[in-house]
Amino acid sequence: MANSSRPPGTKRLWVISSIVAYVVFAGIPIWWATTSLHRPPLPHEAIAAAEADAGNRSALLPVALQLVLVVPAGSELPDELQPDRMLAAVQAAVAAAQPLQGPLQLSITINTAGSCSQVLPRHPGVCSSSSSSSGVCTQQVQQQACPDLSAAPVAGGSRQQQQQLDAWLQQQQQLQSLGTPGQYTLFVLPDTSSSSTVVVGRSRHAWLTYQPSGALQQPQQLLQATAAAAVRVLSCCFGLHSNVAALAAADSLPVSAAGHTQLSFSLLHADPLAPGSSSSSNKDSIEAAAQHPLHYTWDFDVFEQQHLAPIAASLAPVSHISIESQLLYFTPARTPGSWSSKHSAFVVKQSQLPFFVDSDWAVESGRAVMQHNRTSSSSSSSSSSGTAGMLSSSANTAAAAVLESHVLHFLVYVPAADKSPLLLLGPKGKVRNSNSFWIPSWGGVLVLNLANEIAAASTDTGEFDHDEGDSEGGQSRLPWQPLPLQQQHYQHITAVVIAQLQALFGVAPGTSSSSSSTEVVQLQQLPAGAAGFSKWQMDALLRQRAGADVQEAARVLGSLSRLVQQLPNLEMPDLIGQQVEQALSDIHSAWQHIAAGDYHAAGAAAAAARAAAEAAFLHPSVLAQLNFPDSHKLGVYMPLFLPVSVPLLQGFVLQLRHYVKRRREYTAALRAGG
Amino acid sequence: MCSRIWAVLVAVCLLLGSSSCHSAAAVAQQESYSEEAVVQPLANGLVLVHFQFTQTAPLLRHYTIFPKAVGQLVSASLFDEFQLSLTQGRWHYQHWGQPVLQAKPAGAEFVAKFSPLLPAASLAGQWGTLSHALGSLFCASLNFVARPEATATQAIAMSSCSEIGQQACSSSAGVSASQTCSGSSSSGSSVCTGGSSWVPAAARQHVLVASLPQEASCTENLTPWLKLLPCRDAAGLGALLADRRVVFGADHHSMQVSMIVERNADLQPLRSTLTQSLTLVLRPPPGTHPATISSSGAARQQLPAVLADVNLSALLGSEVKQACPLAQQSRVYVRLPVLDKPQQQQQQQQSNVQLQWRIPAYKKRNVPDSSNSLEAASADADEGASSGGSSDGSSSDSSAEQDSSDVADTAAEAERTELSQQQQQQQQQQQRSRRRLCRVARAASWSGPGVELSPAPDAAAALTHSTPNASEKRRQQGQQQPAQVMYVYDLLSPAHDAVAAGAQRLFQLQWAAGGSPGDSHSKQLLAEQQQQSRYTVTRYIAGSGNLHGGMVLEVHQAQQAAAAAAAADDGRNVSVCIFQVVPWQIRVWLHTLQLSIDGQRRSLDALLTHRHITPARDRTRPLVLNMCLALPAAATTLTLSAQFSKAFLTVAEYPPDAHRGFDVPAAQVTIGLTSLQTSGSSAGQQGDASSSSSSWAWHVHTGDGAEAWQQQQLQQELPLMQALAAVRPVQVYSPSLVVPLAVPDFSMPYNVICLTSTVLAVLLGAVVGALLLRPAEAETQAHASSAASAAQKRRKRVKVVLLLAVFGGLGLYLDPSLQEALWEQLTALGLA
Repeated sequence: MANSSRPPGTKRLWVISSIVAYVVFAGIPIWWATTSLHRPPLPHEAIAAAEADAGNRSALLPVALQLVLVVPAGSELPDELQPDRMLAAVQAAVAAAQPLQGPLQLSITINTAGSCSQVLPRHPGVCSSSSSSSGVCTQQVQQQACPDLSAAPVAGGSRQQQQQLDAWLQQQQQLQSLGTPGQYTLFVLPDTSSSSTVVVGRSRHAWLTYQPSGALQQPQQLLQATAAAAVRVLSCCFGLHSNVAALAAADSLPVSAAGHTQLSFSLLHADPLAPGSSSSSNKDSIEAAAQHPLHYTWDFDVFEQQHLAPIAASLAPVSHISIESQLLYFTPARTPGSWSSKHSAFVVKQSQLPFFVDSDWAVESGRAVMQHNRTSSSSSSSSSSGTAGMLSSSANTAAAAVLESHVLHFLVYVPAADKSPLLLLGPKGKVRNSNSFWIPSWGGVLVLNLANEIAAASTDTGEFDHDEGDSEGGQSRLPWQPLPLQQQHYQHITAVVIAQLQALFGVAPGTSSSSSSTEVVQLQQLPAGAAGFSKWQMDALLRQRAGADVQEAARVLGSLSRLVQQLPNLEMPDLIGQQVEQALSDIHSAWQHIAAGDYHAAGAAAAAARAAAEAAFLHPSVLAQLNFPDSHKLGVYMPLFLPVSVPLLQGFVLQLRHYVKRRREYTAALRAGG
Repeated sequence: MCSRIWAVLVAVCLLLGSSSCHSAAAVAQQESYSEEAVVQPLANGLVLVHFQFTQTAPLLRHYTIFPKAVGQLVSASLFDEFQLSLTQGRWHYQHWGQPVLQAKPAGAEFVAKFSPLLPAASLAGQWGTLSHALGSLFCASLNFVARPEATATQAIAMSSCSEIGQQACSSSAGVSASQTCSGSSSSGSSVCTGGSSWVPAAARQHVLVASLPQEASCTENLTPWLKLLPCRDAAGLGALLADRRVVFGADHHSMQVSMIVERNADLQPLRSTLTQSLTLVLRPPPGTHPATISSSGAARQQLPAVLADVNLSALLGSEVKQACPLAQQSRVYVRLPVLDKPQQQQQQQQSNVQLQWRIPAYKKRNVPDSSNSLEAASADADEGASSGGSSDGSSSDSSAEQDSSDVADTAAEAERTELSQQQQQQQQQQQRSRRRLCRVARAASWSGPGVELSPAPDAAAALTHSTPNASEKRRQQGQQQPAQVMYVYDLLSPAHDAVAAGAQRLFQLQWAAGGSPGDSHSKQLLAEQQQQSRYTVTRYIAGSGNLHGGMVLEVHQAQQAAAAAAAADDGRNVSVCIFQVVPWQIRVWLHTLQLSIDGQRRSLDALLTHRHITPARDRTRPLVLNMCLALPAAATTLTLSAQFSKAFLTVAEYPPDAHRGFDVPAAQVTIGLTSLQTSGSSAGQQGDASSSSSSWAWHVHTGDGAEAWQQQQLQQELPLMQALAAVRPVQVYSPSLVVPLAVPDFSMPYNVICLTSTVLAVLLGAVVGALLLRPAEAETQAHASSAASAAQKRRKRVKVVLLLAVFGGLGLYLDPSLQEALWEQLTALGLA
């Protein structure tokens, strides 16, 4: 034993130490690697910063309002109407009224016979807040040539003349390369008669007229009117909607996370075969109505081309619109309506309107397959590429189904002949103007009373014969032909759909100007025409959507980060990490664009950020997560670790003690021997 | 003249089969919708009701009738055809005979066909998209179908001889194709030598099949199914399904959706056809029919309930209030058994009117005169009805006896009079509408041998064998007996003024067993009814235990059919194709596959004509057995057996109800005989004998004597009628099978963990001990001094305390409730 130079017990100590080392350095890492879950590292700090950013900063795109005071040639400007003083007055009025949140830049231009003097606040932040009332804020005056606006065709207040003026002003605006999103102009135009109405045009401008002779002598009045007009225009239209409620509604825009909206049109026949109403006067008409059932059809392709395509095109910056349609039959409403002799019609009270739509109506879309329709419609009828795209994209249908488009239903309801006419009542029992109602983020319902028309048409038999003669070649064995909707029906439907869309998107006109009788100036909005939405409405939507999307994206990322931190058992694919990175960079660029006031770029970046964030959060692999509580782990691992560790540790400790003891004896023996 | 041309065209179409003619003849760019229903008595008093709703549409962006969801599906997935069935209950081939079209196995079955132009790599994605979309559309758990281990490919399909000849020219679509194909089909048929008109061939399309035998079908599946109908269950024939308790309380309930999409070479859809069908086997509620109540109970109970009195609206619990205004066709057929040949000829002798021999016993019951001319009858019926229905009881009986001598009404006299009173009321109702519309009068009921229907049908249709040559056909018809006879009710017929009042009257449809117990007609009908399906399939498990087992598939041919085939034996074979999917959990040993015919072992290789077998692979794909055999026509039993062993599965692979076992999907047996050949006993032989270029066609006779050929045009729009006349091979499904597998104790994983851990720990302890043991030291330690032992005892006590403290601390750390309890104890102590 003593023949080796090493102390005794060393060999056994080496054996046990190597076993322990093997277990600790090889066994435990292997166990750890095989049992730990794979998840990409998420930038939690960056996400928290982005979320805090979204909470603190206002994600509102800036608004610039330019006041253009057109002075007829040869008249002298009074002191009060000098641009710097005017600016100060308007700023004071705007600051007092606080019509909008978010940054605003005001400027004044005096246009006198082709020469302009423009005043811009040098430091908009400083000037607009407090020191402006004194007028000492330093301002920058630019002199430049500009077109003469005093030749504006201002004449009268009829609708047509207003539209003429609107078009003319829009042309002028484009000449001056104004009118980009967020840049608005309020023209103050001389006119023979002064009116206290500010008119908001279809493009990004409004105008107010004044009487030059009177106003230049009483400049104070004009100044007051101008300031009031600026406040009104900002609060109703050009600014963000002033009230906080509108801001809160911004994330309830009917747009899906991926930026898609599907407009689903349905023409419902409550009961095509119901006999004619008993209120008809003579018996012959009953017979006639009974002979021809209430069966209408629409030429939806033409309707879409003529009426819906402009709306979809105008909404394109906010949301990708796709359109589908169907006809349904035998769809009685759940609230059938009761006879009211006062209206001499069947009426549905307002309290019953929420129950009007029946879940039995097959209005829902074939959601599972819509993803493909979108790809094929975007490639616009080039047949071979559509097929190829379908082949390649079919694999990830299930994953993409989560981010479906938001469906808005527009129902055109034709009541049964024996329940006709059907009127929808508004508040206080008044008949609704358009005989329609809308349901937030779901869609709208329009009641079209066609039973009377059919009775009228069937007495006029000549038209019927003509119809049937046209379609003689068809194989149809129907004893009648379905009646096509007429042009006036299409126009009516379009008008209602536009109004409902505006309401659904939260830009309905006239909602904020209810108590206007006490105001200094009245407000009037020109209807947007076929496009459905005027440019300033689109700007407002973009502002809303961009702000809401940025905040929503940050919020979604924040909750994903918290979720990941709370659930250590959650397994995630690498794709989620990439999507989170993508969303963060999009949020960043959206902030930059918002600061720069680039509406379209900001909207696009914000939408991309939200889509990526939602895709990461709703990734299907995250939805199914395994539950491994800690007690479960203890139960699984304890039976192995405890019995294994006891002999190992015991052996190690024993050998160590043995070694120490023997070494002591050994050294003592050596010393004694030495 | 025009009708002649039509006739030739229709004949050509029927000849070519439906697929190629759709593009050639029916290119109407319109959406169409037709609804049809077949009512047929079954054995034991059961009634079969089969609905079929067919919608066709070209590819449009916006549909007016065609359902939007399905239209979107067509452009979303590149399928050519799919067929989804949700079935509850088995179809009893032995008792109920051949189904109307096809009886599906219980549970869900999903078949999809994809174009051969589609690359095979994209099939899985397309199949997944389609099954997910359909699953969400019909609220069925078809997502399980999309898994590869449930999906099988069917590579062999039965095709008719004419189709094989046609294959060459079927690719060139267009009007001209019909001519060229008709020419080549006769030449192509020479390829098909041998007896049977159907031969197996490689499938032209990618056919994917999956089934879920456990899938239950309920209202949540029916509601979306009904939503696809333009009139849902509000009008038209769909209204008959309004009572869900009846629909789902049926003995057999099978809901099917199938869709065929015609695509061009770029796979762009041209035209799609959506067919929804529902098969119900209903048990008539006792005592609902007035006749059943009124007749003497004793006599009725003696009568075997062959043809029970049936009132359709009472049977279904709902009635049609109004016809669906969107349907181009809306018809109800009553299909009654075909009479035997001698009966037929007897009738022919008695009647010299041409209509009579084609349709057995098409005679209105309340016709007072015996001229048998239907035009005269309908004119006279008006008078007879106005004079009052009381006289029609006796007079019509006499006329009926003239016509069909076997009708003996004595037992049911009382019942008849009551019926006639009912008829009288109906007639008066009718008459009111008749006067206004000035239409041809209709009789309230008519009676045939042993059967009476009220109200009288609009027309009768007989399915006879025909040749393309029209004049020859007319000659031949005299000698032929129809394979099927149906009585047609047209809901949209102006005579019914269905849209106006009185439409519900239509479905007071009833047939009475109006005959005494000794009535030979009843007996004959009984015999007809109980004639079982010519082929039946059974399948069972052999062996016991959790390790091995055997599976046996038996195909039986009815004795009489086999005997007839043996009598006419000319050495012909019948091809029988077996398609069986076996899940991978059941590992079939293919070398044990044994074939025996009529109890004698036969070599499988000698009889095998086609074979396509995909071996199973664990957890990725099932075993697919697709074999076609040339079976001697006289054989009665074919037995195919194989041994299998059961897989040993991991815990996670068991379904939630593991003890139930694993389902083996139903085997599909296709026999190369047409369904029409097997349905009628004698008609089948006739069909065999005639040339292969012939086909079956309906001959329709209306009450006012319209020309039969013109009526045939309507078949274009009557898909169910067309399908009934179409020749197709017989398909029989076996019942589904459950194989129990060894089921583990599901608490086992923890036990296994404990055991393996203990073994490991013991092993490690032993190894460490063996490595470190010093034999000499143990002895020295035993002789240690007592002082040292005292110190050791103290050390041991410290160790125990330390161990207790460690474990106590661990427990406290892990168990928050223990912490709380301890904390409470401590605070209590501290306060005290």
